[in-house]
Amino acid sequence: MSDSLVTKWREKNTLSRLKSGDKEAFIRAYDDFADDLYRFAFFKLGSEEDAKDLVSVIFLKAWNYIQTNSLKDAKTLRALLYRIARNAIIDHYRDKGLASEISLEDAPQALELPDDSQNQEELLDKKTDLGLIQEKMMLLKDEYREVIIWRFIEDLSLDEIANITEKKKGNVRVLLHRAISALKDLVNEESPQETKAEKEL
Amino acid sequence: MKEREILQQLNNLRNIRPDDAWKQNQRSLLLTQISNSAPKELSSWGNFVIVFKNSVKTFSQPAVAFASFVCLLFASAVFSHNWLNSAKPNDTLYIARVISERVKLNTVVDKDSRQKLEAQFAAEHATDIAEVLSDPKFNTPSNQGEVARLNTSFNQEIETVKTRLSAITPVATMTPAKTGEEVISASSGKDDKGVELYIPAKAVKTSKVEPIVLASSTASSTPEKNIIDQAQDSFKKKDYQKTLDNLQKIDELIK
Repeated sequence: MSDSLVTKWREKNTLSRLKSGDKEAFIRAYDDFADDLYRFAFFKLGSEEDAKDLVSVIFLKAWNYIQTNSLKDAKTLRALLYRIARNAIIDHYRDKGLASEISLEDAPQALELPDDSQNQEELLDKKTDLGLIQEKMMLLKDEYREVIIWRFIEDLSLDEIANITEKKKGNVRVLLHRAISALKDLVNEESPQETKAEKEL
Repeated sequence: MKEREILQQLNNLRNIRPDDAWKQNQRSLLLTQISNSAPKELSSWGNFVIVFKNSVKTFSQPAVAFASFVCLLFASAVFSHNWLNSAKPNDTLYIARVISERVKLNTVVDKDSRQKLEAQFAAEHATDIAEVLSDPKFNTPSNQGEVARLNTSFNQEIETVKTRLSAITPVATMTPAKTGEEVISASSGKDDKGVELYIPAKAVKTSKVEPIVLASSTASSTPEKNIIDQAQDSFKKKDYQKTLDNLQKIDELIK
């Protein structure tokens, strides 16, 4: 409880200082949230370069928004940044004339797992599983992908997600359940065993 | 793949992050870009106001406020006991210490235990007074009013020690009856044949009861009385160190 209280206090503090135009607070916000926003943009857009560009855009937009608005609706800095991120991604799609889902060719690379204790076969299995998850996530509906990223990758609570999406907590819970079911269906359509067999061929 | 495995894999995706070089570079660029719109730095006072306001907002939440209140109560209960006990007769909180001792005494039901506790408190007060008076920074010619007050208090405390110790109920001892006198059974008024005995008042011999206080001796006799008297004498002679030594002995005997 004490950790979340300190985090909440720290966030509130940073937001208030940002409102006052404090550059140190901006740097702190950047250090605290750049990785999270990068991941969010990465899994939404499927491109490392686009994700990096968007992170800069998000922070600049956030800075301008905070200076010029009352922040009555902004409960937390994190929620505000994610809302700005969502809108920035929509603008990005609109500008580039892209659909929200991406093709398999643009799917991000699988994560490297530096675990020397495992043998090569196990390592290959893990990589394959992870790659499959990433690949199939890109095929999900936009709102499904979003809630999965927030809940299971960024570890946000249901309340925080509800705050960002301006939905009720119950609705978020239902959406999450549907999202995971959809991902599970996509993943199990193609089992890892078949993928490995195909690779051997 | 089971749902659990999917969730585990999703959790692993958390390790994806941008490279540090890019991050550093971007930080500098962004700082340059926002610098134009925010030339001023937040002052220390401004920072303090923000921190204070946010602390009030965060800690005014009902659950947090209640938890803080309970912690404060607990902490004050734990620490105030030791803190008050260290209050000296010339401290403003001394009266609070006396009050807390009174409260403690009121919770003691047994008469002897209460007398013993009162004697202990009085001995502690006398010790504190002697300590304060032994301090040359306190015991100065300009402070003789206070010194006189403490002298009077010391004598009162010593008297309290004496009276409380002597008031503790002694353990009764029965002396063996002399030949020819009737022995009264403690259990019944009948003799061994079951006949009720008439016990004339004159024939009853009761033993002289030696009051037993503190390890089988009384305050009206040696050695406790001697030590108390010695403490009083050394105090009158302003030999505070010897007074404190004697009071230490009294304290050990009481405990």
